[in-house]
Amino acid sequence: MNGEEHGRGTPGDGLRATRISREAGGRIVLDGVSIAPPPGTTVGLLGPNGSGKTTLLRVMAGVLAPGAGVVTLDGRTLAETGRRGVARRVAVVDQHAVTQVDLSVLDVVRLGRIPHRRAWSASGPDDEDAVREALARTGLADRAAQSWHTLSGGERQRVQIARALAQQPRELLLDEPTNHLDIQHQLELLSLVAALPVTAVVALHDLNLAAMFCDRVTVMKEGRVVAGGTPSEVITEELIADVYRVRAVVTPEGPEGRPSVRYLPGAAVRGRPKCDEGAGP
Amino acid sequence: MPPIASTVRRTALLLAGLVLLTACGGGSDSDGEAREGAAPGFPVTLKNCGRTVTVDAAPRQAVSLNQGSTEILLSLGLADRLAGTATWTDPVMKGLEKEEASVPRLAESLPSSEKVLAEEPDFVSASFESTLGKGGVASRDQFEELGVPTYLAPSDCMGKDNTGSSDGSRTEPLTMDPVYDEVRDLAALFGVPERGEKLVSSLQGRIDKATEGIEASDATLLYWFANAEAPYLAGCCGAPGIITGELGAKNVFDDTHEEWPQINWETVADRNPDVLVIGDLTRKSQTAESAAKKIEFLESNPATKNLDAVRNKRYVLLSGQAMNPTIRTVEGVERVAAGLRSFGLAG
Amino acid sequence: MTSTEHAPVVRTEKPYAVRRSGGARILRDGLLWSAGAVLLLLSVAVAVTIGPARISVPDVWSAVGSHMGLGEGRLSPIRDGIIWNLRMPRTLLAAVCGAGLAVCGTVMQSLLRNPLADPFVLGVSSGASTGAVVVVVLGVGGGAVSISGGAFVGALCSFALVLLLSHTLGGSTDRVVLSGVAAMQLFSALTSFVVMTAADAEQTRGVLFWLLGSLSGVGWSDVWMCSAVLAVTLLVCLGHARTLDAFAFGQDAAAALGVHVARTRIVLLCTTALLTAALVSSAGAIGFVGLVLPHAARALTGAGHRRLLPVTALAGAVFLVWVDTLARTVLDPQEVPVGVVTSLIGVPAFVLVLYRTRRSA
Repeated sequence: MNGEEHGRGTPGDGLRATRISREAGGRIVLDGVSIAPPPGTTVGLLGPNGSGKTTLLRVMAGVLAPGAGVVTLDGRTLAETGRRGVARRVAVVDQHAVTQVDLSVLDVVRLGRIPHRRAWSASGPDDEDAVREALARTGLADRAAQSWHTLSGGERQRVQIARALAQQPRELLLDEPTNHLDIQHQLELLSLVAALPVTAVVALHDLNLAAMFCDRVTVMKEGRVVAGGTPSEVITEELIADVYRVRAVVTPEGPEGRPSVRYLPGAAVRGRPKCDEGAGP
Repeated sequence: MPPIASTVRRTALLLAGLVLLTACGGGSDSDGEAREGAAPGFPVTLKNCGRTVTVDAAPRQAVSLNQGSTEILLSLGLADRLAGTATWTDPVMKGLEKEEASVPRLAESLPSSEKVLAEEPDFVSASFESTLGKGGVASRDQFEELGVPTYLAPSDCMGKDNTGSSDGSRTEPLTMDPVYDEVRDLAALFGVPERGEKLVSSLQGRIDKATEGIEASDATLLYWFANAEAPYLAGCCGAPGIITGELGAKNVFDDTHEEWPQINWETVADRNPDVLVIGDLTRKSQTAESAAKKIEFLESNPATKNLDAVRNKRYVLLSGQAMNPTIRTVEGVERVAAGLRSFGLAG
Repeated sequence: MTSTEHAPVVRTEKPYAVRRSGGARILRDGLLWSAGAVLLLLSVAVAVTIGPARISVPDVWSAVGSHMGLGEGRLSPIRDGIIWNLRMPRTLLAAVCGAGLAVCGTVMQSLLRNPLADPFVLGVSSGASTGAVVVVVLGVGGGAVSISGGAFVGALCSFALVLLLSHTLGGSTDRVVLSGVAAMQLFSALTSFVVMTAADAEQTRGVLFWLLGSLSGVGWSDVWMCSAVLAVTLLVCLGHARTLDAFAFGQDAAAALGVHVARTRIVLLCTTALLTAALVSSAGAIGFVGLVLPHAARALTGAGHRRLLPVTALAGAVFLVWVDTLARTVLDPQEVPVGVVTSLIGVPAFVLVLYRTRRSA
């Protein structure tokens, strides 16, 4: 179930990537990748390092140009929509946000209003409302004046999410947002994202987190989509062995009906050629 | 950030207070003097370095910005017409000490333009084009805008409007003529042309006397202005060329057209000059300024201590002004001639 | 193990400390601008009365007034000229240069994401120096080209080289900076070469004075020209204020916020390079203003460029007016090149600003 769609879809389809390919330095980074997250769902993007997750997210955000293929937003290409138009719909949260500037939390969240304001106009009440709501949702209302540089890694991620929320997006792209967070904050962050009324595409490393919070999951390996579907359908021992090269035990009906994964230490599994598929444990 | 805004307001009030204080303090008189009507023989007009200079009456509050120009004016007996002088690189010429003491020095080096204008000059003279340009005191245009005529020594702008190639070098050697022109021009502008002629004749007389009977066509000279590590040595055609020319001798660097190129000592050793003419400077801005230090360097440095001239101590000491195109270049002719005679190189 | 409850969607009405209603903020901004403008006017007015020539304050202002059509002057032509032809254009150009260099520095630091960037990071001042020495020492242009003209052409050549290099190397921010460094080194070397081989001692001194940044000998034409370029640049930069904010987290983050990164970069680099070239060709390379004033202004107003740019401009103007006053009086009768004084003051000022903001990592 690779979700390969033909054509550009119709209005109301949200953000879709169709047969995206991209090369960098002679290497194929993405090879005919298509992804069409259903509007309102939370889609997990899984895969080992180097599988092309970050590149795909950047292409979908319009920050990188694909070598081939097209990204559409409600049926129109990103170029047709225009950069500001895209930024008003799609918000991106990177792994690492680094700045030298001495910004406060409020300053960072206010950046999210930039796509909505023209060059010479002043901020209006709707800007203030959006910022206020974004801070409230991420629990940062009482920290608005705090300096960015005094925040911990987890708090910074929350601030970036607040900034993304201030953009009032309908699509939210997050690149490994839980990377340097402790477990409590990982869970809080993903609960927040899953509860938002936006279409979220979240690149994740942790299969359990993906299983817990995502409605759908897309798995990438070496620049290609190798699986797509609900977590129960996709997260299997064979897939883990094939894509991640580790052994694991998957409990399909874990807590709350979601699969749960337990990894087995020991020798990594060597990648099996395709004709060997089917050989069970 | 409210505290900052109130700090700003406080500072503004403080400044306003300061302004009120200075306003109440009052200042000194600021009236200028009335100008004289045209005197007989005036106005004088002449061409100088591509410009026309017109003086309506003999200047009474002149400012001379370089030592060369100052010494000409003092030698013409015009100390009472000078309001100020500047840029002194050497001790004042012998015989002019009393006159010089009666004129205030505005600065030992370059003064600011306002300092000069505060004297309300009616005439400004200089020896170097850079003094009256960017990085100097003020441009000739700026002085002229304020009604102050300016005069520049012809020896420093000759290459610029005659030959058109102004790469800091001269194509033909200088002679004393531009200096004599400068003397005559300044004398005319100040209404004392007969004094100018007298000075020129006395200078010419001194040169004739010094070079009488000299046959020095085989003697080779080297002129060293300043700096020991990368010495400034004279090329063919600057003021030292005047001295060399009047004596009929040769400069070891006659093939170099730059006025003061920096040449290394190995090349010097290779050319082995007969006589070393050494600048005895009093300012301390480069290494080896005084003649004593220069000689010390020559006699200890391995590249130079075996030069013929060094082993035989054939040195002639000159002031810095003598190595510029000024009236003191005549002094230079006299001393080098005397030196050649004493070293037995005068034929 | 915590629960997987969704984050509470409670609207906390507790207002965050820095938020103000629109009206109150506009009023406070208005006060800030007025205070700054008044400070600048006062600074100019006071600076014009200071100088080696002893002219009383009422006489100074009556001279200024007489040129602006208010009453008769009562000074002699030369003293009047000191005020109106020397001190006024000089002080005004100090304000313009201070504002311009500070604004360019701010834009460079934000655009290139480098707190040590200044207006000269793209080699503009080095190119200007080369142009200047080529005209003064080598006499290129045969007397028809002034030192300022040569400097301007040199500056543009150096900037063109930087654009070409950075475009060839990929066009990203760090490529631009590296190209700037390369151009700076190249043109500095050329300047040194020309000076060492072709200039006599007096020329060298004159050129050096100019290279260090000097406001002596500037005239009204410099003031008009630089003011015009400053006005245009300020308009362009203010129009890009939000865009500059967006660059805080890098050019990709800016692109994701809807900013046209390549176009913005070209427009801002070209505008600031043009202003820097104009300022440097009039007054030489006055250092440290473009480096330190942005940091000082940020400490005053925070990082938002809509407020930062005007504040930086005002602060730069006031700063340079006072520094220039100092430069032309401290070593009376001589003048110290103003670039020397800005560096001498700039270093401790920089340390102070860094110390005050040390709480940020």
